[in-house]
Amino acid sequence: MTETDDVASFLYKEAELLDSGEYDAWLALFTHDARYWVPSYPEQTDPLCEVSLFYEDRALMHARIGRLRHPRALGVPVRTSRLIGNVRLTGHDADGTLIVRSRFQMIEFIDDEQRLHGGGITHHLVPADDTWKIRLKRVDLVNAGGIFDLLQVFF
Amino acid sequence: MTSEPPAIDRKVADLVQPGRVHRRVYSDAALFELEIERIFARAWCYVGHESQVPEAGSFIRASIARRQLVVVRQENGDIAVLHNRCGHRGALVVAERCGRVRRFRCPYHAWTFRTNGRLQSVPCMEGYDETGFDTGDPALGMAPVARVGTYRGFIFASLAATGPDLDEFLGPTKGAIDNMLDRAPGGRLEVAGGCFRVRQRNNWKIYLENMHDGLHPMIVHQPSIDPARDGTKQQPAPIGDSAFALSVIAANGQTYESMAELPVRNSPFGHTEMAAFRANPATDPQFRAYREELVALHGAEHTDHILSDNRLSTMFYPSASVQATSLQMRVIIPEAVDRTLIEIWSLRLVGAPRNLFQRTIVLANTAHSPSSLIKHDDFAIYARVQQGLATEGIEWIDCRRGTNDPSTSMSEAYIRNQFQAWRDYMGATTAP
Repeated sequence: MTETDDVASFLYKEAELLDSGEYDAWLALFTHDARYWVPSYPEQTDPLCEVSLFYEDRALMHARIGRLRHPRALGVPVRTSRLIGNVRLTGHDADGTLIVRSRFQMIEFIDDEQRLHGGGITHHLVPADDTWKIRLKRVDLVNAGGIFDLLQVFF
Repeated sequence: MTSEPPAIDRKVADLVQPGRVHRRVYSDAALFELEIERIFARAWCYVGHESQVPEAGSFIRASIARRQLVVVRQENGDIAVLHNRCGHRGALVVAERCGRVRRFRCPYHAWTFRTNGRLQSVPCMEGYDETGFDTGDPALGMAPVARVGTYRGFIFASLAATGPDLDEFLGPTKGAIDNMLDRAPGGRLEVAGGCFRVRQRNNWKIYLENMHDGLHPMIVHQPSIDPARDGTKQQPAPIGDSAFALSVIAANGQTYESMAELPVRNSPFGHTEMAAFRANPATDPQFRAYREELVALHGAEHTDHILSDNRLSTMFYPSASVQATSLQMRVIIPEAVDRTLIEIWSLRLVGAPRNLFQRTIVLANTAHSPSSLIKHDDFAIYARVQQGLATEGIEWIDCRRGTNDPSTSMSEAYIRNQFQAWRDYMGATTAP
């Protein structure tokens, strides 16, 4: 197994946890200071002074998961199926953080309607025991900057 | 002798009655077309902010009553609102959402237009020999809309040549704009931080009729209030931006009793002003420095008055709603009887510290992003109302709540006020 194979397996496992709704296990993949970021337009560099489709730390990710499980939440459950591909290790930070780029397509089924999402993902992975923790997951949607329906679930 | 009003006008007058509204007002496509022509094409509609067109030739696109428009700064500093359409083959001249030009150029046959909309040049002019074609003919240009007005940087336009002027139209709702400007140490606001564009699956009025409804939050938003409250109790406690975001979500969990104390004030033309609960974060050191700047400008007493003037939202019926305290402008763009596009823009107080604007961005992400935990349940409800009102069998919905006390967020007086304006716009028997 190459390191790329190992990282790809990690990303497949992450995707599977989301598709199967195992959000606690999914959240456990993230570091305590992690960010989940979906920029509002391509090439966005500033999440603090510009709006984002998602810009969440663990507290906000936890709240989103709480809503998805709430018995009175409307329009849930949302069913998803995603494919991850083109996994590439693009470098290491000075502190050993591994930067990984991949592509995804996700089918979402909600309110009797099927929707298609896709784009590029950048993971910043921190070595932890014999696996990794996610410090940053950035999802650049191909339709960033466009008109959106609501986005309830994580990509 | 007065002539009999057309059948559709009799129908319109009958559909909105004291305390009740016919479901077809929300679900009849022909009535929607009439609303476009009689409400949106007659009212003053918000099209943008002067900071978005800072220099001569700067433009943004906009839309009123499904007309494609372009808002453009002139050489003399004035602002023109032009129909975004070429006089030749009718193509949209400008496809970019914003930019800067010396002149507009249609990409089809290279007709060019001055920034005032007049046709400037046409290639191969000899093709028009002996046709009477005159480049000076205004009908060949990107025609300006009938009226443009600005109130302290906020640009409104009307497709109707007659009607109240902008000052009369806005009336007391100008106070929301005044308050935002009072809170800017530099005396200016600017649109900043990008924009969300979100499509709703409902009639535009269903959204407007939820804007000042103090009864629904603790019901509809329970699925986000509960986890937000739980989140604030987590160890370690959330800090900074996420603590603020969670507090915004949890703030929907007000009791009926406190919502009954939240003032709501209606005014002519369908407008409404609604107060907010949340106080400003007066303990923050950056906020204290900011307050001192305002004190230098306004004096302590007036500064405290400005900062305590908490406004949740102000409706400029039918096209926009500003959240003055949280500095969000929501633009309502009706697309079809059951489809509405909403644009959300953030405003920056020029001269205020950076962290205040970061709060504005957190609020935009939390309350208005397509991923907003609050909006999921709102939008689902709007879609359900739309689905229910498209169903025949029970024809009327009730809007009598709070008839005795129309001054709080527990009253549907603001809905009745919107329908008063609706009737006034729609009831006229002559086409605009």
